[in-house]
Amino acid sequence: MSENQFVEPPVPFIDRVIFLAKTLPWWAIILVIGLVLVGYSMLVSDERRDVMDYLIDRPVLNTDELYDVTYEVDAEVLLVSESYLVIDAYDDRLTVFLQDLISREEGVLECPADAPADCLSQRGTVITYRQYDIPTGAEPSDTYSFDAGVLDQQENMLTVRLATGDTLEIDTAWVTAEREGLLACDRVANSTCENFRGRVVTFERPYVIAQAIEVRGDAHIRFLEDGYERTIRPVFIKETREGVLSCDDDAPADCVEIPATYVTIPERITGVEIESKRDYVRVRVVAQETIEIPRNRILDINMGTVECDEDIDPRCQNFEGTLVDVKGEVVEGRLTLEDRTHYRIQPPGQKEAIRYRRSDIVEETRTPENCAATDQDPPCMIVIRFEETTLGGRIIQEIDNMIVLETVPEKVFKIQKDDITKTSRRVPSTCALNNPRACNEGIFLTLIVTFSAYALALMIGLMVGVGRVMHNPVIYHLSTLYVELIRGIPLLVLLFVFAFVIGPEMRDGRLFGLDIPILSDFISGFYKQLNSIEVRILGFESFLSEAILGLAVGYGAFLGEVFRAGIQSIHRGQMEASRSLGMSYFQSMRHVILPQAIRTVLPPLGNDFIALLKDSSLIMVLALPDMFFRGRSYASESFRYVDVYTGVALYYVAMTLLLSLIVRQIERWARLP
Amino acid sequence: MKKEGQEAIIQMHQVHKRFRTSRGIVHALNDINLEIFAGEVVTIIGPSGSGKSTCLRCINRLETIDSGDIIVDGIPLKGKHNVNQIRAEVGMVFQSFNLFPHKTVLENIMLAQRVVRKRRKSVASEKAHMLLQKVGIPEKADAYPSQLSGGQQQRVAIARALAMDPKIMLFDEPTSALDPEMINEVLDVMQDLAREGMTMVVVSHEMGFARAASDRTIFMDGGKIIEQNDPDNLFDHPQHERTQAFLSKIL
Repeated sequence: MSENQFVEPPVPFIDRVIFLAKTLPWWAIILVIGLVLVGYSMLVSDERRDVMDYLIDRPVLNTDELYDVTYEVDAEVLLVSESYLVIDAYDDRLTVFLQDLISREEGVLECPADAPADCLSQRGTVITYRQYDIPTGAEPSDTYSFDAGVLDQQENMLTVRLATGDTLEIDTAWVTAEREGLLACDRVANSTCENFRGRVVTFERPYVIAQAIEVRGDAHIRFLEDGYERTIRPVFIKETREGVLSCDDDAPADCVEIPATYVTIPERITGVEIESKRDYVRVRVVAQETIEIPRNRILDINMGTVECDEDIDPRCQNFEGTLVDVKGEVVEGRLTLEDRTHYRIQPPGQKEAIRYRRSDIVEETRTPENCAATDQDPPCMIVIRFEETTLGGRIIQEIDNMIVLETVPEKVFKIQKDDITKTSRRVPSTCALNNPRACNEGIFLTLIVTFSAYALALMIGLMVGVGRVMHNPVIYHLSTLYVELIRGIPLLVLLFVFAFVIGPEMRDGRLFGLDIPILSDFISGFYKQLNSIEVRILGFESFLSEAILGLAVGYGAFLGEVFRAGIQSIHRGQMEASRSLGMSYFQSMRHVILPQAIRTVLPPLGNDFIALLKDSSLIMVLALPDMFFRGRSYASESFRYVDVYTGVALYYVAMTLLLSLIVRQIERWARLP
Repeated sequence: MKKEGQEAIIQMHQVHKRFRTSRGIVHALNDINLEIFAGEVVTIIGPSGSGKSTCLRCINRLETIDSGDIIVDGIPLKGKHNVNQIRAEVGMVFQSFNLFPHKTVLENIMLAQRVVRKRRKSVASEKAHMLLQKVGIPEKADAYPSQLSGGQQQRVAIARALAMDPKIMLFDEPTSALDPEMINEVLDVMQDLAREGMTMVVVSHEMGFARAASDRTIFMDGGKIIEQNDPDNLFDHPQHERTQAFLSKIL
């Protein structure tokens, strides 16, 4: 007989699906049908889809945001102390221009007459310099004039109050004008000052000779390559080298080489990595944008200075270019959703609604008046207008109906990999398929918390379960104490205990009120480690690790009892047989008892997992943005309680259903013949 | 089988063992003195509760004793440290087989070899196949214990104990839980083992096996050894009246 006769024809896909469906329990089929129906009805409506979207952290397929990489390299910069001194006079730190320096000598700096009682005279470099008593923000010039309210007059000395609230004594000879009236207080400079009403004088202040300042080791630093100046603190300096600042080829003829100090400091370069080769990387610090502006939106075109954004690139330079004033964009459409921060507007003839930030909008009109997004008949139509803006850049193309503007030139740094001392990445915050690390709120946080807490609880439970059947009295009683103690505390209370009692204690290196010196570094180090992990997951400090620990410890007690029951359900002959073969107690546990016990307890383990998934919604009380928390905040903003809580319940049912089916399948695999 | 000048492989000296039960204290072993020599096959018979299983379980320390000494293969059974070492040298077969249900027959036989003897997988597997051949069920290597008959399970249990290359084999009523028609397949394996010179202590009421294979039969009652002799003499001419009464009931 040929064997080929018995080869079965391949089973069609649809048959396999039907076969799979037949293995599902009846309740699962009913639930699946219900879920599909409710889920469909939620998804066909735009507003409800937004709810469902929000609950799962608004995932998108692709995000254009790229990883921001920060490379730290050691850069050598020039320390120039020829033009500035940074000085430390008692508690004040001041910058003195060298041109104002009158004398410089070693000596004793004595406390001024109005110095506080604890002032000590200091020995150091004492300089005398011209002092301009100018309010913050004023630029130095030859003369300075101020308005001040007169508080008191004694012979030719006036006691006056400036707009900043500071009081001064001035000579009547300095006064150039006088009037009766109001001197408004400068609340930017001093939020507590009061307006002055009365005699207001305008006076011109000559240079004042002040003295007695100590020079400290702090200094201004000038970068060699582009002349950008900034102050750095001495702690950042890695290396110092003495050298000379030589003249460039195109330097003026009277240039002299001056001695200078070079220091090495860590420099951070943050941007998008655009190329990474074996020995170097190229990082784009500033991206160049090309903007197309329709002519009908242009209000005015001027030549002028395009200011660069120093927040993006501190070393960027302004350049001469074109400034285009642009009318605010006008959008018209049906308002489909409004919340505290955003509108969702569906332009006529289009299916998709677009989100706009409310803070960008300067004007809106609704028809009918005062309608809301929830109105169906008639639908709420809205026209919004955005603010006027000025775009700066270089015109690269002029077409009939539009001009094309190129913004700040792109800036790319090439960094040798050998120079890099530290690398850090900032993950873009948009949850997307190509960036799953940012999916950390809503349903994702629920899953993260559930899985990590359950994994921990399994470990705790296994240890406690084995401890509860061991003959060692210490281990047995400790395990029993743990189970009885934890089972007596409601999970909600346990979460608070972990967040507000044990968490802070661990941070201070204590545990249960005990301060054990050997352990305290370990405990606080462990806590710090936990904190850094949760910052990596959520992006901010929170009670995440405390919540996970609380849930794990709480469920560990239940799982411990489950494991104990499982171990005790195994016939003692199994232990005797494996011991009689020469295996130790723990070898027998590991190879013989536990594999059987775990098979026995799979159903209760699965039940506890589902229970934990549901109980994970308790972490909301610790302000963790899990699905329930997000749902609640959405509901309180939009008043869509029905949609939100139906959606939350739907997700939980879907998850538990899926999980119980997975647990069923695992039980089936683990079943013995 | 006793040879002159040879040390007994199992020595029990004034062994006492008491159980505390709800009905009071049971004196399970009362002054047991026993010497078993290498290569000897000893059967222990007696009414239920006579302490014969306890006696056997004491030899590999599944039960602890209250007083007295037990020396197995020259190692005194005191303290905890040498227990696993002795157990590896003493194979035991249980009335209820106690195979590991989550492992196949082959894995059952390989487990202790791998964990205790640290044998390589190929070596352990080869040994397991050889032993399955020996007990007559080579085709069941990949079956699970629950798929085997009682007699087959007990033979696997014997193979599992033999895989450790024990010097002594203890059988605790190996055929009591079996259907009558499966008893012989197990007894055949045991007789082969006896013929190969294995030191065996068997708690059993199988007269046929005792007569055919054992060198000595011990009758126990009330925790004491009442009488011991070669099996033919013991069964045919019991000296003690308690022995006579017991044998008259089972023969």
